[in-house]
Amino acid sequence: MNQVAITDMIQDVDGLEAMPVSIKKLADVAANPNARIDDIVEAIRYDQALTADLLRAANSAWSGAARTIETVQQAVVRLGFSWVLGLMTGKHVRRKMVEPCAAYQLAEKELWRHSLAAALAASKMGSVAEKEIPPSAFTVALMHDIGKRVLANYLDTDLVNRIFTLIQEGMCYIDAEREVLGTDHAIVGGMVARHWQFPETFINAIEHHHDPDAEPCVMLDVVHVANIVAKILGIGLGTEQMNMACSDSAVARLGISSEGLESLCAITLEELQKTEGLFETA
Amino acid sequence: MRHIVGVADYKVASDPGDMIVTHALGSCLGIAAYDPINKVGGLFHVMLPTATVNPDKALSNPFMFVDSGLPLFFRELYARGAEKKNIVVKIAGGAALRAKRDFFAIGKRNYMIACKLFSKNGIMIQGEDIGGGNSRTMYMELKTGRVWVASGGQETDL
Repeated sequence: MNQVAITDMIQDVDGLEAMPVSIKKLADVAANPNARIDDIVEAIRYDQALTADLLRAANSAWSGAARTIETVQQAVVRLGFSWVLGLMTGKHVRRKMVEPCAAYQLAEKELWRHSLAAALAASKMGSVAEKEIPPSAFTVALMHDIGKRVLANYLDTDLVNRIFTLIQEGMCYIDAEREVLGTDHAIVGGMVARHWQFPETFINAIEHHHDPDAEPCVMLDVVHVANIVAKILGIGLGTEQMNMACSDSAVARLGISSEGLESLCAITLEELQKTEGLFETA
Repeated sequence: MRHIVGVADYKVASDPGDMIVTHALGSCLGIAAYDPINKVGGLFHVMLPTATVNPDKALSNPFMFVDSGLPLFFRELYARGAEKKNIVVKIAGGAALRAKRDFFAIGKRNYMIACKLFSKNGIMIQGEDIGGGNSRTMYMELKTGRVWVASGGQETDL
């Protein structure tokens, strides 16, 4: 990819619809380990659209609330912070992510389903890991492949064929992408997260999700393993197929056994089947 | 009619005009079973090797696991008129992610458990396309029992 195309792509990222201020505030709250429920409520309460979406989700059949949820505070308690941030971010990015990504051989909704599967794996990872999983992991995993959405506009047949040739020669997909384009979907995803002014831990996890050993941190390990789970489920394989390197060190750092990984796959599939409709109506 | 099989699911059919398809077999296994005498066949798309890793999920959906789903899949085939002595089994999938150790080798474990169960029950696997790093789509045609796999733009009969 030449310099002009990279410059165009950066402008494309800059031209992406801005993330609502309230979601940005929520992400900041997520990055603060001392945050309280009042901080979450404060970030949401002045955004009427967000409040309406949140109350709708909290009162949906999926939520299973025994009584009507009437306030933002009740909704946050009912859904949990992980879901509040995830639902709000997901609703915002879903429209872009359900579009087909022909350059990655991802049909309509496939990129979204892959991202949602990874997000659900991240949010349920605590049940099989020794390490504590950050509540915002759902949201970060949901956006880990957002770079594919931007890069797809720049991948013509020639570039796709060149990447494919390198893969046939034995290269991992992400390395082939970087070799041909001078960048890759993880780096571009990091650019998007930076453009949306997300916290540094979010940006780092998106940018390095194929290389968790570069700058190890819990969020990065979680997103790396969540992506693997989505691949094992066979969701959104596209041109990348199963052609990604898995880090033994990442699962070891998280304290996940091979049985735990398989259990997480089962949990994630069931959650995905329960959750898919939620973002369409939330 | 074209039946689509999702992950952790199966379809059994006997109408000669039917076709059964399952997409995106990565590390998952596609198990096709066909009785050419009684013209009954089925396709099972299974994700994980053994139910012991999560017995609760195996209760809610036994078709997630090879060891809990395979007997039920065969029970359904027999209920629809297939006979064990006639059954032809073909399997595909079990692709691998890139890793230094076998930790992530769920595809390989799926294949091993399936082989073990078939061997224990005296059923031969008569065709297979296993491993590698690419996903597969698997087809079964009920009229003839033909089973084939599409992967990386190529089709292969099993």
